[in-house]
Amino acid sequence: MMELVDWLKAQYGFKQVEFINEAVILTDQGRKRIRSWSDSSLLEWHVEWRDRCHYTPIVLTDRMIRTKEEEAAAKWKEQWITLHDEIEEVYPQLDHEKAWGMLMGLMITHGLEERQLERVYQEELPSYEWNPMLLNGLRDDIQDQLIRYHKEALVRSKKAERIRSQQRKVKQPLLDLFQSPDQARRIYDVLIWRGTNEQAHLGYQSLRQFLINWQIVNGTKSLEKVIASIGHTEAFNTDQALLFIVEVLEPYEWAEVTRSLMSNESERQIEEKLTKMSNEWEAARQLVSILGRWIDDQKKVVT
Amino acid sequence: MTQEHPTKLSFSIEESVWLNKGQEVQEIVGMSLEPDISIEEKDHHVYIKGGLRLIGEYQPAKSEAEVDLEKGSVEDQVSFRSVGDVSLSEDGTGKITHFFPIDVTIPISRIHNLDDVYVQIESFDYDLPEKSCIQLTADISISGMNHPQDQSANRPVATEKKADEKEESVEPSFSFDAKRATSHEELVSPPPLHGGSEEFQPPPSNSWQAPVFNQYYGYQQPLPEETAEEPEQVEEEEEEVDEVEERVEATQEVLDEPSEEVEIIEEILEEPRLESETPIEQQEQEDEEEVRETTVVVEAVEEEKSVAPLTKMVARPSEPIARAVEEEEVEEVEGDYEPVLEVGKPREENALYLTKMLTKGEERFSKWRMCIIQPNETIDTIAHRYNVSTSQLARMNQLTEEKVEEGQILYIPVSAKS
Amino acid sequence: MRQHVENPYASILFYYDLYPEHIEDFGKIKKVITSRGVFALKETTMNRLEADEFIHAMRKLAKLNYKQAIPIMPTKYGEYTVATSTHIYYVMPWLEAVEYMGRESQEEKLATQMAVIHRLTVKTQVFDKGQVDESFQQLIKHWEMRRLELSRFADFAERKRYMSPFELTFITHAHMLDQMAIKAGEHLQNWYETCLEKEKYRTVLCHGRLSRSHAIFNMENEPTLLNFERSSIDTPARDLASFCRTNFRYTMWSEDEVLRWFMCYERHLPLLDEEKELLCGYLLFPEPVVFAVESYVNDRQGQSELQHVQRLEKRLISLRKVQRLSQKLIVKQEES
Repeated sequence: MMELVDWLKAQYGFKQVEFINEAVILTDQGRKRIRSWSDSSLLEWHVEWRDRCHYTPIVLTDRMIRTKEEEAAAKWKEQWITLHDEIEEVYPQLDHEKAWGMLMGLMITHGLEERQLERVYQEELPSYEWNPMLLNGLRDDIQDQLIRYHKEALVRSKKAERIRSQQRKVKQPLLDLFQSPDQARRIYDVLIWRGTNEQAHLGYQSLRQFLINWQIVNGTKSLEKVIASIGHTEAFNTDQALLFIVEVLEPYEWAEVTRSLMSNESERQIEEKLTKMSNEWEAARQLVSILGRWIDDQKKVVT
Repeated sequence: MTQEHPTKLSFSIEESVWLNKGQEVQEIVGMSLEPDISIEEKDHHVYIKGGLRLIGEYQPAKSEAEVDLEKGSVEDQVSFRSVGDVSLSEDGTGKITHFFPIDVTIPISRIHNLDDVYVQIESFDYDLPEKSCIQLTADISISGMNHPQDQSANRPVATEKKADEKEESVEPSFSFDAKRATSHEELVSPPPLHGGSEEFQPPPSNSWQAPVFNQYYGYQQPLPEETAEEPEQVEEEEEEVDEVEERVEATQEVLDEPSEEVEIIEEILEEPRLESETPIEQQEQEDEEEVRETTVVVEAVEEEKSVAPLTKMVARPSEPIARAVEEEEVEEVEGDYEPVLEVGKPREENALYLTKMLTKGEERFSKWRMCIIQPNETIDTIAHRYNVSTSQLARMNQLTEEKVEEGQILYIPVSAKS
Repeated sequence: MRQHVENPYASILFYYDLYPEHIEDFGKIKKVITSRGVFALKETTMNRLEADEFIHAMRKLAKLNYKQAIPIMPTKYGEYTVATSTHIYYVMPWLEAVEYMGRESQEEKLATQMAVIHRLTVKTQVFDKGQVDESFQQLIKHWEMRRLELSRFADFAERKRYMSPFELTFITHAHMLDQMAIKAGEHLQNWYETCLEKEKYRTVLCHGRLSRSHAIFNMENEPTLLNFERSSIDTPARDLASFCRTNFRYTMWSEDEVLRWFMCYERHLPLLDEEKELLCGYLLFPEPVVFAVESYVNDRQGQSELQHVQRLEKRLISLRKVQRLSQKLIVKQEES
């Protein structure tokens, strides 16, 4: 550890370095997070999008802090080390939708630019395996709900597939994973987004989940503001909105329940998942609606 | 030869029902046509009024439709439902209802007993030329009429207009004048009243119940890719019958010959048009020749019960139906089928109500029979019965081999005056 | 919590890991006091292109190991400016000015620094006739337009029965000004011809607006240069000319002082003959008078007639000095 401390001091010119935990250090220039990378092309991509996605002084990412040599990363033993700001205060969601949407829009805009990455992650379509036999023995109202959801889930999936094939020539954005709203931190009212060191994700799947949760926590009005703000960014056009809609239409949340059903989980487990899913279902419904409306509004603007 | 034979007034409906935007059909789940008709006697006429109620259940095409940015609201096109809105029973299907008004006036002279008057839907088929349109073909018959046989003169086609009928047709309805339904009758003026009103017992109520004709198809209807422009005001169509022109072609009734066929066409200047064909059948004739003359029946031999078997229609691919119809039309043109039903005036075509059939001019007069294969029947027996060749039947029906199965529907080309 | 300091500059300073304890406003310069020291945050209206050029110049000087330009601090992300939708910011260490106690004039020191920068960055450009022609034609055209404006103003004034004091002053010198403009054109022509003959010309990194207000002198009476925002790659004659024009007033229009600047300069980078021609051209052309006239006509600053006349007179004096100076410059050249 001391070895690393000295190395960090040397690389970054800190006068003082102290480990708070495995990943966070306290320096004379504040708390910093340490990340390590083994895949240099992935690292390059993460440096790139973080550097590009900012709008001063509203949105910023946890960009790689440069070494004294002005390098984004430094080689430590067999891996690359990067250093990032670590801010404690969580950025608020309600009444701050503009910044959130801007961040997402910036990421989408950057995600649509040319890039060279060998490996990207793309969420596979879930299976909605269904066997009505397994409904037997469940409480009637649960059966009832499951059947209804199953029916409409198929409608959603089909609809998604249709738009997907219609939009297959439209480029999908390559995005860093949206994991949690806690990734957004606040300093001087700037939203500082903490990226990940995950594989780059192709498409809107993680943003979908993120905004579905957003709706559940903050409501439809707030979600509408986020989408409006995304809509103001350069690259988010109706084609992108349709790609996004495809992801939201695809009933990923339903797959959770069918999995639970197919693996013969207990009634209680199934019911729990059903309840959780139904919230997400409604949120997805709102999100699709808002995105659809956004597209409709674009048409009005044109004419 | 003054004996009266019960006859039947038959006509067919061809109608396109246009659906509203967002109601486009992916697949018909089921469709029924139920008569809702009252029969009533008044001033020496029997009025058959009411209509046919079409109730259809379908899988909406919305879920499959391409999202068309140019047309309609994207929000509506991409939206999906809350689980509360998903009905278990409906199976997510859409429902359409459509009412076809019927207004038929028959001179009381032709009716022996009002209790014997039945309105039956003898056959019923539909096609989906496009997602937003359901095209129906139904053959309706009114039975219980007398068939005076003492008239012998071959009558030329006559045209008659009746002022009172026009007045009666103020309300939106199709109007048929069935008074001239036989070839043997004096056509120049209304026939004398037969039987008198004292014989006549009006039904106690309007509660006549026609057997419900249900047709359930379990197949998928392939759809054209493009979305149709939807004409509006389908639901509230105003049908005005401006003029009823009646043409009767009368022939001497000779056995072993095609029996008389009375065709009534009305010229409806205001669309929609309804085509009606009203051949009169001789009920007493049970030989095959007679059967052949039945313009639209499922199985003439079982004519009286013809309503029943149709409910047993089993699933079969729809595409052959559509093609069979087309082939049929061609066949009839080739077959020198006489266009008995000459149209007196150029038709005014109102695009909103224009059916596919109408656009094809004379072909719309095509007739065909449907025959449900009964146990032990083979394609050969059917061919023999209808006096067509086996290979013709196979070709008409798009059969890959010359084999039929019980319950299968065969379309029988009607050859002209064979 | 410091996060809530309501100051629009704090979010910019975060890019530098500078957490201000106090910010003092000096107009475009903000004095930022932090636990890590005192810094200057400069708010500019440069556009991105200008900012890029500015940073390019700064980095070039740093690379050439030139120490007397104020360093621009990189953000923690390795960038030298921070752009918002309205402004571009950069941060420097805060230097406290010390009273100048040197024996030489401040301008001599500055001229020396300019020469050092020029010497470090001087480059003999491969001759490109098209480019030289273009520059030449552009300047000629510019001067002709200016000359036309002056004669139009003279015509306008002469048509009046009673001229205003400003107009009268101008008319009195109109002929001289016109002669200077012609002379400037001749010098420019000389430069052009020599260039064609030699088939080369030199460029340097020009500061653009060097003066004592863009420099901070230290205890050793040595300047640290600030504000390279107008810097560009151009002929040294231009940087020198604008330096003279800007700083003439600090010398009370002493030709000898100006000659000393040139001596200081030439100690590091002797000017070529054609560069002197060009310098004379720049200096002789009565552009400052054009500005004075324009200002009078538009009366943008709402000044009194007297103020306008005073300004015009100052400029006329300075031009007359320059006239003599230019003769000395050329003479010097002929002597050597």
